[in-house]
Amino acid sequence: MKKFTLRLGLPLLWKELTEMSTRKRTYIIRAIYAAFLFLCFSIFFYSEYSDLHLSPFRIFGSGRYIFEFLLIFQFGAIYTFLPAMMSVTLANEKERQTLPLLLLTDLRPWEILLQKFFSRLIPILTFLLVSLPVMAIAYSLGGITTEYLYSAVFLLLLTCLQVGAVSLATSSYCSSTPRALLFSYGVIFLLYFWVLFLLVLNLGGDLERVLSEDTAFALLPPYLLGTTSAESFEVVLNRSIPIIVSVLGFLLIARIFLIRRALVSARSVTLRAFRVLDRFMNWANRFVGGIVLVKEKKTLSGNEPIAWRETSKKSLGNTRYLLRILVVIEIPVLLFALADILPTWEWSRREALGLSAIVFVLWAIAITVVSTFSANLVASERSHQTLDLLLVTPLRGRDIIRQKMRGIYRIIWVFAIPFATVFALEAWLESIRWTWFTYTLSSGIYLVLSFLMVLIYLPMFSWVSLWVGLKIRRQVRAIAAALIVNFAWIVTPFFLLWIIAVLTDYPPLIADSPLLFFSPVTMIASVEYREFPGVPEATASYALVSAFNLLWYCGILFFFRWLCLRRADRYLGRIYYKLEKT
Amino acid sequence: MATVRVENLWVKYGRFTAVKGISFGIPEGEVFGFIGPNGAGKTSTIKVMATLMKPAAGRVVIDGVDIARTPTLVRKRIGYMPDSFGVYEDLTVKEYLHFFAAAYRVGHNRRELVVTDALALTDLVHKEDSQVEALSRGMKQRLGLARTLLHDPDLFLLDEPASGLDPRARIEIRELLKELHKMGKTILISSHILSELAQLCTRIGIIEAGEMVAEGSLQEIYQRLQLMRVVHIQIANLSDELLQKIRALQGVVLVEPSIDRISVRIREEELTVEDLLDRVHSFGARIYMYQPEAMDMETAFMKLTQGKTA
Repeated sequence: MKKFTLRLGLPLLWKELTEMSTRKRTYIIRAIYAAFLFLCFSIFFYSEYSDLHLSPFRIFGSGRYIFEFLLIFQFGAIYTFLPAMMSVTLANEKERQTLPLLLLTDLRPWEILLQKFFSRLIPILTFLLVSLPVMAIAYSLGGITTEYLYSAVFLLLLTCLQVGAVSLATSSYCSSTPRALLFSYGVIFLLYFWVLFLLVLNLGGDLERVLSEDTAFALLPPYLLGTTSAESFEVVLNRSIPIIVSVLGFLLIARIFLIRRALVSARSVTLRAFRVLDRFMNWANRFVGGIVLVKEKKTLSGNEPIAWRETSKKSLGNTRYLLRILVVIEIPVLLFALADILPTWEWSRREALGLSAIVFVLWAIAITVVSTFSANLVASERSHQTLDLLLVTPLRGRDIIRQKMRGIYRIIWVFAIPFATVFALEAWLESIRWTWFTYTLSSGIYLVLSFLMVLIYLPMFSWVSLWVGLKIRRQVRAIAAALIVNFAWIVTPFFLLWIIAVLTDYPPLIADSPLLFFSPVTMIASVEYREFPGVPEATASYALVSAFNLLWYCGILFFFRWLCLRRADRYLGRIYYKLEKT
Repeated sequence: MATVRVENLWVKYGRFTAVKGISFGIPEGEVFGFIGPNGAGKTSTIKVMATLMKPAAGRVVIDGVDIARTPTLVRKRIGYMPDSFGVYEDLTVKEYLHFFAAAYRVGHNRRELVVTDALALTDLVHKEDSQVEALSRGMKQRLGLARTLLHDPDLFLLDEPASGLDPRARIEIRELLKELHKMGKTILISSHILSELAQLCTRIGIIEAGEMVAEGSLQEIYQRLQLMRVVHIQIANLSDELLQKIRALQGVVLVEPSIDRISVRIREEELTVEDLLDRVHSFGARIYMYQPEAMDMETAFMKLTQGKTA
């Protein structure tokens, strides 16, 4: 084995693979993924073929459905796991200050890059191999052409390469692992949807004539598979050229940043950007007469030092900087909202479906941001080695937590304003036309319910994420765990109802069950579409369900808040004595 | 009564035992050097004393207060400086100290004065508006020490305060600690730089593999190990006769002549350094250099430890 290793001369790759193979979580995640895949496959199989006794021949040629189902699963796994695995590779070396040592070895930059790249691609390929037995079952049932099989496998590999290259580039650029992680998901999101943004922002111009839907999704392998599945492998190969080019492009970017940013320190990018902007504003003020919108006083810490730092020194707490962030969020929201409602002046006929879409996107962004920052609150103090300094002060654990949360509340208020804008526009649009919606849920009630949800849900997600961040010590793990917990909480009721619906052979259950209210998003969708699953259509019943729902989530919010504050000292990791009076 | 009393302290990380039932005491106003190789359990012990970690067993009492029962009270009385220096990159030196002064609940009206004093004592006044992240490592260590001074604690727990510093910064830190000692503060300091500890510490504790292998004043430990003091003397009129007389003195174990000096090894319990000087002078020696070596802590350390880790 030793001789084999030396002959290949891939020391970094071997080291990375050996390290990963010694980690327990590698196997746990793989086992959970396999179990989940087989569970979903079994349920899907049961739902499709439970009535085979009526027509046994129906099974022939039906492998395509199962195969497509499995492909969705595989694509999902790549988009979920690969950025998390790949984005930490180089950023982690920078955090441990080992990247310069690697660069001083005989390994050339491209070798380092590619060995790192393949060290994460190989494990993700083992994830894909897990599905081989069920894919074989699907293939044996027929309905899958060889061309389609080749195309699917090729596009799965291409997705791995593309997502991996993007994440490697962000890892090469970023100085810390949490930043690299967030940046990876952000860039992947933008990579696929920037053309769509252009189309929406076109405001009725000619852009949509030039850019077709195919152009918008040209870089998205699953879309390519969906649109070319009936054609030959050659067609898929030709149309995947932009994807291949994007892979090479991102690898090149990774190579450029590998050396240029090898010694970059883990300082806040946002804070630095805002400081540069400050300098520019001060310079520009010489020409515009010294206009200052928000005058910042230089203050020193009051009696709540942590709250002071969170709200006046951090980039996402400082009023002036938060106003800038608000502008960055509010302007696109307004533009998208106007782009949705302006093109047609027949408002009396318009439905606010576009506005609802903006609300959902805003919710997704707000929950992600709030969860990430809350999970990172204590984890970042740990990673910067400043937590111990706070813990040896006489400040109570609950005070440390309470004060740290002040900054998060400010971020929540920043999100509340664009939410309020969209809610107000939607309510106004509906108030000028009479519909069944208006009868069952007036604009006023809609406004109150929607805003209450923002004020309850966002703090709730933040306290849940903070609790996760307190339990998990490593920064990246804390953020990832908080996002997974919140995501699982949102989708689990739907998933469980899907299983029950399949087993009981009653599909309407998925859409109609009041049990869906155990997912926080159900209420958001219900209020937006005025369709409350399993609830009779009447204002009183809607109001009652909403009140119960909000009380339930309010209870969860206060439970997690109580848990975090009550056990603050224990979670923070210092000696506590429950009978001690401070 | 000892300011610090550590009794049968055990610290565990899962199945791994870092500290195995150590006991020691530090009397008020003493400087206690906590010595041991890497992984010996020094930092774990200090973390327990700083109320940052719950011991698996045993008791730590600081100023008569059990840290497990009233940790908040203990926190007001200790100044802790960890082996790593955490940086708030968004604060200036002055803001940093005001931040911690507020965290230590120093009154609002006294805060400015306290911060100014701490800056002056650590010679950081000229850096008060600099960003903390922009300071050199030595300055960061001094700022860390300034932070521990803010609430005027009685006990300082300093974990490797001089590690990674250049000679000048190390001397500055040592002088600062001497100042604190003069002010009557009790100090526990862990370090690898044994020669510096020898100049500073009044008591030492040597820990290895989680066990305390020796504890007491330097003199007690040297006596226990039967270690000898080495004195270097340069004599203008050195002769064989003079050498014979010195060798014949009670308490002198060995006299080694070299080109420009003689090295005399003595047992201090029989012949003190001052007595040796008087006796050599009385032999008619014209002495132009008399230099007792600092107590040989390295020898003590090497004799007492075997290079084991927990």
